Amino acid sequence: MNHVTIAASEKAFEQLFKAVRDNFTVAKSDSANFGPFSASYAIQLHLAGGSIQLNNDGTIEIKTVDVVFDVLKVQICFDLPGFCIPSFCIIPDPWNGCLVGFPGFCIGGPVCLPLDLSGLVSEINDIKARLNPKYFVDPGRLPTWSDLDAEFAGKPNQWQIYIDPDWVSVDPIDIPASVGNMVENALRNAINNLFPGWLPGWAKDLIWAFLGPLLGVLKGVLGFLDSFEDFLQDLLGNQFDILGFIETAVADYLASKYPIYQFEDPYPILPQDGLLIPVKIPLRNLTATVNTNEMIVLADVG
Amino acid sequence: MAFTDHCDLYAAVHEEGANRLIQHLMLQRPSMFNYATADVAANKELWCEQVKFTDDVPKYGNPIFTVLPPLPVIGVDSPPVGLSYCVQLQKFELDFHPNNIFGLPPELDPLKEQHFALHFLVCGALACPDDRVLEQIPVLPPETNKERPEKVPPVHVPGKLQCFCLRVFVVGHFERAFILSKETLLGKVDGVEIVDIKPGELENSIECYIRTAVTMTLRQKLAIPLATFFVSFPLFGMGTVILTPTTNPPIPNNPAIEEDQLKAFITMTVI
Repeated sequence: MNHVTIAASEKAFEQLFKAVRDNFTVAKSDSANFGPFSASYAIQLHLAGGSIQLNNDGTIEIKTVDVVFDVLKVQICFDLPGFCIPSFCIIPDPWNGCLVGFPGFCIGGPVCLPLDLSGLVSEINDIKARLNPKYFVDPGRLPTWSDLDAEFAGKPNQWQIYIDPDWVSVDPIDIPASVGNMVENALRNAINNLFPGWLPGWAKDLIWAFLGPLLGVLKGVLGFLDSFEDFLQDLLGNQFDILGFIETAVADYLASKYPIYQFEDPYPILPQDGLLIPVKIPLRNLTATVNTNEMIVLADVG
Repeated sequence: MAFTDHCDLYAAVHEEGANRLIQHLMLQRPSMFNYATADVAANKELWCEQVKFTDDVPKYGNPIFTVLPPLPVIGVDSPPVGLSYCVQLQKFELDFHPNNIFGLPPELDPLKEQHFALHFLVCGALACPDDRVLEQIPVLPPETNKERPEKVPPVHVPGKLQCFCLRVFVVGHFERAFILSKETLLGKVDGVEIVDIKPGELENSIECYIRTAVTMTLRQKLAIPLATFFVSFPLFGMGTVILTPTTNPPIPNNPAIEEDQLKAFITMTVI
């Protein structure tokens, strides 16, 4: 029989998981050129919610964890196809020339559409994991140090128990249909910025009529067939592989960054008492597993 | 049956682990188990038993012995005379119910449910000075002694130590107690028995001394905070939960001593 047994109910385990979950945050930004257009993004996210199920085969299933994008900003840049409105005479001069004329102008060139989708929520639909105890030796610990030297130097060895995922599955980012209006407005603003300042309103109306529906313009330039939200979902999820990044970041975090349970080894059972050194016991053969009822940690006193 | 059927946190230490823990305690804090006057503590040859300790003990200047003043000789004050001595506690064995590591003397047998038994040796010796040493101690005039009694230094006489060992058996149980504002597991002594001491009144007096010493040591030095017993489980200190010892019912004994283990049960309330 093992010398030490510690068990935590599923309810207690959920509290441990919440602490791990709430400490997670990650940020990333990137940009890429996709031929007809280029795009960049910046994200920062944290996790919330979720449910835990412990299984008799030693696995932990974590479901429906919200991925909350505190920051999700995308910018898409492309060259608006150029076209020109030639000059023409509005009030001709009956003797010679033109009394009032329209000088003509050309628009087109680089346009960038900034989209701020911060606050969007995606979901980790499933994490399947097992507990994995690791023995951590502080890299700053000198080989000549005793365990007590290491403790006094703030670099004690540690047992660390991680939730080690077999897989993490993140749902595609659910881009709302309203993003279509957002991008239309962004494009309208961008094109408005291309107009010369002297351009009268009626001329602008004329140009807007010429351009037709703006999403149609975007379809032509960016080359998507269906909705803009599908295009954006594909851009973020597949082209930039944000989903893969989140899956990797969560898996890496759980497996090696934030243990669900850690303690010093040797473990101090009596504190320092004046000049008397603390009394510490080495814990060996540590195992950690779960069943449907609880998490069980076993160890021997070395 | 799950460990946490009626609680949220469960911790248990098996008696084998507890005995290894005592060995580590003796190696790392030898001064808790070895007591002597300064002259005996400083001279290995005078010890009843050699003492094992970790390299860290001398490295950090920790004592092997707790040094105590010489034992005063009664009726002697011109000058006062003190004798050297040595007391060493050894060979500890702890046995959680059921009793299956060592036999108990009839007075304590059988070990009751929810109780532990402890067995150890008390080895000691009083330094016995020979006549020649005693004759060399000057006798001070009474007048001088009355005028300045505090200035007469005690004479600490050397002598030969003849060690003896007593086998001590203790039975007890564990309770929860608040010590230094912390919920702790505290060992309580229910009975002490020393084998083969006559007359009975002498045995009773020594047993009383040992009972007092063990009781107070458990209270002052070896009360285990619950968080320590649970190896600093992360829920201790977490602001979102309240941890309280599980009550009876559903847990009849908390802490419990059963199946050769000391067990504790905690109920969690999420704030």
